[in-house]
Amino acid sequence: MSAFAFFLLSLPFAVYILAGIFCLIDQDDKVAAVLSLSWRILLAAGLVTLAGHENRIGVVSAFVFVIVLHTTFYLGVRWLITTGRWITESIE
Amino acid sequence: MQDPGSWVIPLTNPLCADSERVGGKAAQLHELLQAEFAVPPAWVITYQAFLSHYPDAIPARKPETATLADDLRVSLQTIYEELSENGAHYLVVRSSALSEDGADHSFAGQHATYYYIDADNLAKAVTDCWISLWSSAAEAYRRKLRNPDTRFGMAVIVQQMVQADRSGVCFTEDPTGQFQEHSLIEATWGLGAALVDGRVAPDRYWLNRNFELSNQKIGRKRLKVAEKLKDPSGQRLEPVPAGQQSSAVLNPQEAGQVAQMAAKAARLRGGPQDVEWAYADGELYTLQTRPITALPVQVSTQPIEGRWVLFKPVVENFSEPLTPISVDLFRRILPPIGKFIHGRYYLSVDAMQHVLPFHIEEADLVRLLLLRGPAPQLKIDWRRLPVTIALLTIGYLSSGISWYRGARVPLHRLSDFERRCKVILADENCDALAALHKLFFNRHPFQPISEFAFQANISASRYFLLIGLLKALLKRFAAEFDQSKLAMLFVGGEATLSRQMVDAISELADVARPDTALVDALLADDGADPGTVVAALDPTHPFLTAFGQFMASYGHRAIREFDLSTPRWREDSSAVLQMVRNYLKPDRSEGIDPHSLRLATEDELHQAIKTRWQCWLADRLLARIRYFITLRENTRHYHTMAFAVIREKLQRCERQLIQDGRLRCTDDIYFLKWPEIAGLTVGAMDWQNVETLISQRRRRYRRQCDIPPEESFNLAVDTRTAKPEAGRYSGDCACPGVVEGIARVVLDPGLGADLQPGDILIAPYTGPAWTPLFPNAAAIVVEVGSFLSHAGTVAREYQIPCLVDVEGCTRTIRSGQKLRVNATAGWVEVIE
Repeated sequence: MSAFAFFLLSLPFAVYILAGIFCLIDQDDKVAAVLSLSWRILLAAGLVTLAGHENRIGVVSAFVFVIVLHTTFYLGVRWLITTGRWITESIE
Repeated sequence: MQDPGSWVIPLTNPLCADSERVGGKAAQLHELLQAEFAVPPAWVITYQAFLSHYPDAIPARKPETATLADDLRVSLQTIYEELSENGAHYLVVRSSALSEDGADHSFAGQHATYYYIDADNLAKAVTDCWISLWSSAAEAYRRKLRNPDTRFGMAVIVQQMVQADRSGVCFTEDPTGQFQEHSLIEATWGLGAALVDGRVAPDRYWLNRNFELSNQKIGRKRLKVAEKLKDPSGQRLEPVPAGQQSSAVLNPQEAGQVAQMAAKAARLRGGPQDVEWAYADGELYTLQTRPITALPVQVSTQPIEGRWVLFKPVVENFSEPLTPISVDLFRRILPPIGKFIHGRYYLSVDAMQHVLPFHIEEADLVRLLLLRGPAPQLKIDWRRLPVTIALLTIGYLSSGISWYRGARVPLHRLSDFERRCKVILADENCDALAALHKLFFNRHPFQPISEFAFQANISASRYFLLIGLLKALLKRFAAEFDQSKLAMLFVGGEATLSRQMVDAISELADVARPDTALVDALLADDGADPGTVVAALDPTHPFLTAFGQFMASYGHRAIREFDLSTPRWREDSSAVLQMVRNYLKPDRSEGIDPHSLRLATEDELHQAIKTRWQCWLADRLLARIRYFITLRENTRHYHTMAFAVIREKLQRCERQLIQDGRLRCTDDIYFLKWPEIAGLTVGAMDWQNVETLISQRRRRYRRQCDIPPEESFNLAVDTRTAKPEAGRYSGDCACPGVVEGIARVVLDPGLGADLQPGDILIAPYTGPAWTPLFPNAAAIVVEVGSFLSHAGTVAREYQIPCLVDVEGCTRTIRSGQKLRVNATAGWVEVIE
């Protein structure tokens, strides 16, 4: 039960921490990007430590869940659009 | 077969009064002739002739084209000789169906008309005209009629062709309903066919009952149907010389003369008329008249279900509808919570009401969606809250990463998008639809966010929420601070590309200024095209070098740049040169330095806030708001490059289709949908399959352009603001201030917008292409817009008082009137 609680607690942090990885792609200032990512990794480490050994699965699952959901959403929308399934109605 | 002697009669013959014999149109022309209107000489091939050639004619079955009887061929030869006696080289062959131009239905444009007919092709034109009675357009029109006329048959008018240098249509009552008690004249260069087919945006003149010009809208007439063919076998549609494109076709006296002639026709016919007219060698001709039964082309017949409200962020950049190809491509990427109705994008009120977790009246919701007036008081609906929270959570988890990425887009990296556009443009295998997909969506999530100007642009809209948050905080932190001054704190500064574009135009004027001959030529009021002036310059002239650099940076921009049919500045630079001209005018006033004004307001805010951490928080919010405003303006600069690339792809496709004979005219491609273009490209369709479609869509599009956009459909509330009282119009403040000045109504910034320094700019909407007019304006009043619209954003950059959402201002305020604008209080009034 507490693993599930950590899963829920970790979800918003997972989004924030994973976004930090993209700073490396998006930002010119790589030093600042690495620094920003480091803080986030530290936050992730804090979460894992707080969760303890028995609840670590909850934290890790949150990260996996966000990655899967983000990728599915992203690829799903792209698939809908490129195959013409995402289409707005039009009245002439 | 009936007596061939009754087959042809001159229009002057009294028998032509019988519409059962000569059809509705010929009977009316005869009546006009009797009333001494200047109707070109004509003969009529009667209904009896038709009946002899098609004895079993019924609407349901299209017959084979009849072979013309020898007697009729001989008569046609005689008619040609008689009508061409006085030197006329060409004739026009017009339909005159029995049910045509009746009081209930006009059949306008449903049957054929043929121009430039000579002796050799007269017989064919007559048989083609007859067979047009069974055209798909005429058939569709008959199906729509509730009480279809049982009379089925057609006479044909063979008339001397007026080699009109100007022509058009005059409605004795404005059918668009924009101006009550006014007649409306539409006019273009050359023959009227280009106007009737919807190929040109004509000039429009509104005249009151005394035949005085009340209002005019000069169209950009790029093409005309030539009055004199240079090469009889060549193209009849030819480009209008650049200097004439934006010039008025009629002067006020000529417009008055046309309106008087039409009014006389209306008196004669006993009701409002739609009169076709033409000027040739200074003489006014009446070509045709028909009752105004309804709008000449119905805007739409499809029922609209559900409640819809106009999507303001698009319409405040341009209120004209999108062309069919633009709609068909954009509907493949826009979210299905909206719908394109008559070429404009609408949001579903039903969907919004289900998603928002508030008790909100329909009227308040619509005002919120139209970004109009103050935000309503919102009470949470606890029953809907769980659904909203669930949706927000899913949204955050699935796209929160993109949200964070959009918060820190390096502004200078946005130029990556330009490189991407060039790669896609160079890819010969990438068609317009593929280019749309590639430019608006990344292939994988690991591409830099700066390559996706569109996503960054949407992401930047969050400044709307931040402004709301800042206002709420300042109510607590600094209750005595005047929040109307907040707009001055949102100025983005030098990094805004719209501002850099204005500076670049100003620099162009600076480069031109030392060359007095160039300045005099550009400022001359002789109607000369500035493009011609610049083209005549020595290729090494510094102005040309600077102009080339400007076009390299900003040539992809245009007025109505969202629409794919709009030529970009690099295709038609007249609008830019017009702006340079404005900058060359003497006595340009220097504006207030927005930076110092912003610093002064910031000081005032800091003094009003009591604690240091509150100051810090307000400053952080202000910095983020400024960043997102700049990001939104700059991403717009880049994602419009995508529209220019897609347009270029369509143009290439069109050139190929014209070369293959599957399309006939340039610009027709914008009136097709993507599957039709694909069908033409692979040879599954040809010109015959799309000819009628293009013609119908062109005419419908022109009519849709005439009508101001409906703000909503199927709503119980009136979304429009209150009518003006005692010459005072209300609107929303986008940048505060109070000024007085002379009104200058500008409907198109590229059409000789003669804005003098200190004038008050009255515009239907504004987009980036309007920005260069701003520094000359003392105030800006916009018909459609909001605090967040382009007009508001740029006006704040220049600290120009700006009033938005002022309904009807372009129609009721006239150029030259003296106005007082109180943007702070939200009104504008006519003083003199």
